Amino acid sequence: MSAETATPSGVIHDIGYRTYDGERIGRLGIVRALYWHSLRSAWGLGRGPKAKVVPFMALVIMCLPAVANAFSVSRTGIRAIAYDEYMNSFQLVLVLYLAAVTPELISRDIRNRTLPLYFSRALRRTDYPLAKVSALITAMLGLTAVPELLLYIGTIGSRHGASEVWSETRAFLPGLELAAVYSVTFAILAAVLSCYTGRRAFATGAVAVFFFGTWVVSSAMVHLTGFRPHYHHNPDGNGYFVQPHDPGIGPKISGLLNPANMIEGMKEWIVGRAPKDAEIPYPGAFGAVYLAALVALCALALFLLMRRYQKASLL
Amino acid sequence: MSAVYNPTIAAITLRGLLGRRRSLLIALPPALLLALTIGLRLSTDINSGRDFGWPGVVLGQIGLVTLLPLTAMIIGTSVLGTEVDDSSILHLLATPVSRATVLTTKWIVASAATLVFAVVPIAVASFIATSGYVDNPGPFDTYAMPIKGDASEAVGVIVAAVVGAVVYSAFFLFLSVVTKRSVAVTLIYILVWESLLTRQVSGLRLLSIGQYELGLADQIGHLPNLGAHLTLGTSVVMSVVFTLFALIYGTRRLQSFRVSGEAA
Repeated sequence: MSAETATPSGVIHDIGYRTYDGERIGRLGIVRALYWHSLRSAWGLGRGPKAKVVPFMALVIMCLPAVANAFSVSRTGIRAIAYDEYMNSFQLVLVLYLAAVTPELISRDIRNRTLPLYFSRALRRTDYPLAKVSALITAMLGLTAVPELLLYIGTIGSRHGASEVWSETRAFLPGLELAAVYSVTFAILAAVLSCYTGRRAFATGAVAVFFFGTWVVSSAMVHLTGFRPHYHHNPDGNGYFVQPHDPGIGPKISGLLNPANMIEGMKEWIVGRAPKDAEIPYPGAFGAVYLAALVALCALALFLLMRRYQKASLL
Repeated sequence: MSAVYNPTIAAITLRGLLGRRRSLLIALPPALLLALTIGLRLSTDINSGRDFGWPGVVLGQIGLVTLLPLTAMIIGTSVLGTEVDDSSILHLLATPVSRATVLTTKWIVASAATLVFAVVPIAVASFIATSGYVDNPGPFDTYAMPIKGDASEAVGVIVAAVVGAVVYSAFFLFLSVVTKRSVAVTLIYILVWESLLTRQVSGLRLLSIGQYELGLADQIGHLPNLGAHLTLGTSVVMSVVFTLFALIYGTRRLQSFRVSGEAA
């Protein structure tokens, strides 16, 4: 209020506000900041200790088999778990992580009505979900790729000679790719499932029920529709087990009911064989359907996510 | 007013539970189970030689061990958890109703809702799946028990589902008293404890509610393919112990309930 400062005319009270005339970071900067903040909060960093419990517990559980494998390989030479079966065996931990973390990233902004604050900046409607989903994918990669990497390191520690290490690496790389596929698919689906509600508890429930429920149903249906030995009854009361030679179309379609089983079917199709105790039978030419269905599912989920943030009712 | 049941609290809880679109969401998985059962029943002849023994898998692995806990989770965590979330629990705790009554009333409501939304569909599905079982030696039943061919398989599944609904409701209600993030903790229990760890470490079966259900269903009905491991006595005793522990310790924790702001 002093007269010395260049006082503009027509101001009743000058309480010293100054306009910002520095460099504005613009749209890209906002997206980057949003991505970085979301990535940190996906691991509970920058938040209280309670927010770190589930993410780091999930990471520890995911890494335990890899650590056990390191001991197993060095003592007995027997591998505890294969690179390309790791994610499928422990997918429930991934589901748990997503069910706990995705609502934190996505539902909280809806509930606290902070979205108008974001969209009043130089941020386009599609930027927000893209930043959130990429942060979620990156966070998931930490949960999927780190255990694979530990598994690899723990195994090559007991391997001798360049050729052994090289063959180990060739087995490891598909596992890493599979981890990436799991991360992308699961993150996108979890994001779209939790963007419809502001209540954290509902979003958590939706993510968990979707992944866990469809997995149980799909796996059961794969077995029930013929991909298992069945018992042949003789008239005299005895019988014998019959291993179905060709599982038929039933199990292959049943595998499409769950994203994880979809990825497994696609993996077997790409690799060209199925392990003996596989969850999903080798799809053969049907594998193309798995790939197409997976791509279509992710595309649809992304589309729904984008469309969700076009809605004015969200604000 | 009775000491275990307060009709006013029950009415408020029920309204909060069923008031919105949420009840439709709870009704979706049971509808899926029924559709699956009817489809399988129509498409397979369960008394033929090419029997896959599917009723045990559908009723046990899908119905009892997946559908029931997930429904109980949604209901059990929302009868108290939502009130803790929006701090309206304060109004309830300020009333001169004993905390034990609050807890048991909520438990009764949660159990009843789980009975309606999960146990009734499972019961219908179990009758659809097992009626007309004449003589099925149970190809994958490791004990090769003959099936009696009456309603006992269905009765076994139904009894197990009722017990499961009551025990799960008590336990999940207890979890929502003890922790702020009840849904996440409940999920850890269902996904990591019951599904992942119990499958790997067989000793944990003794502390897993799903296994009590399967034990009960198996001991009463001898339905093949349930994957049950516990005996009748163990299942009953452990169910009672679990419920009593959840209710008594839950009451104690509710008596010293501390309301804080948003968890950091």
